[in-house]
Amino acid sequence: MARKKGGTEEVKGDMTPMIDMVFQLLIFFILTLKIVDAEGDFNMKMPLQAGVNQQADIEPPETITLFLNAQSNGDLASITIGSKTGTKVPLGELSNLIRGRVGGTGGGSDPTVELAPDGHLKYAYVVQVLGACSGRMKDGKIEKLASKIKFAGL
Amino acid sequence: MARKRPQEKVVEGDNTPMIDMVFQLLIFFLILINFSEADQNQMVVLPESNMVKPPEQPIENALTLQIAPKPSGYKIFLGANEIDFNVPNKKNPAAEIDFSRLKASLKSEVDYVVRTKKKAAAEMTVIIRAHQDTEIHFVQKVIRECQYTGIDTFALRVKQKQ
Repeated sequence: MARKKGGTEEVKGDMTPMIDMVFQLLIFFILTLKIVDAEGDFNMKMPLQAGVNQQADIEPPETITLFLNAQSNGDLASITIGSKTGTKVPLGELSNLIRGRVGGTGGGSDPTVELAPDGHLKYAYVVQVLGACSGRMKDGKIEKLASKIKFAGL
Repeated sequence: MARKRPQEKVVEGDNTPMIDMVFQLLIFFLILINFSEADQNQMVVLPESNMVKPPEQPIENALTLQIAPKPSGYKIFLGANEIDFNVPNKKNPAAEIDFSRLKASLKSEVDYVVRTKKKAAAEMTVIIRAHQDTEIHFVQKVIRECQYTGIDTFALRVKQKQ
């Protein structure tokens, strides 16, 4: 009996289970995807003031104290320099003022900015002031201002 | 002449482009997925600032402390611990907030890092994720408690404003 000549036969695996699984995975990842907003940090170095190791011969660094006065609902009422009744500075002008003290980009002095907020002031306003003290936007780039910012009385 | 009976023919479309696309999508979502939900909390709405940039590398030896509001005060999330604080209202400002549980939790977290990573408390950083409406006095008191444990570096985390 003559044997039939075997032609080249394409063997196709069944793709259906794989496609099913891939779709399941795809739906899982789509459903669990959570778009996370970009976050950043304001870094602060705040050692506990022990009142020791204070050497009299070391000149204390220049400090700008900003008083953040709050309304009764916790919103920001005003910012004053030096004391609660000192000169008022609008929030929009704060970075210009700090820039004037820092001495521009020529590597001038680096004063410490001390924040003295009213206790019931909302954290969001403190962050706004922190932002205004730490830098300002110039031509789409961040220009760094004060690097040493801390809370008064801490 | 007998007519040939037409054979039933299954017409199959080519699935290859669809499978290719599905794999592309799958890989896209796989890369995008964020498993680090440990430091996310839906109760905390961070304040915004355009002066911050996302850190290029994660902060080493960091403790994340989250402050969320609740009707009678605040809730702090530190590691696996949840600590409730009843903050006295303005009519009774002299009442002190009890920080003893936070103190104990902070101590155990710091001790763990000191023991396992051989780092001093001063080399640690506390990342503070506080809700935008938190009274600053409370945040300051929390910072003070951290300072008592020997930590002096803080990162106030805020949302980047576009």
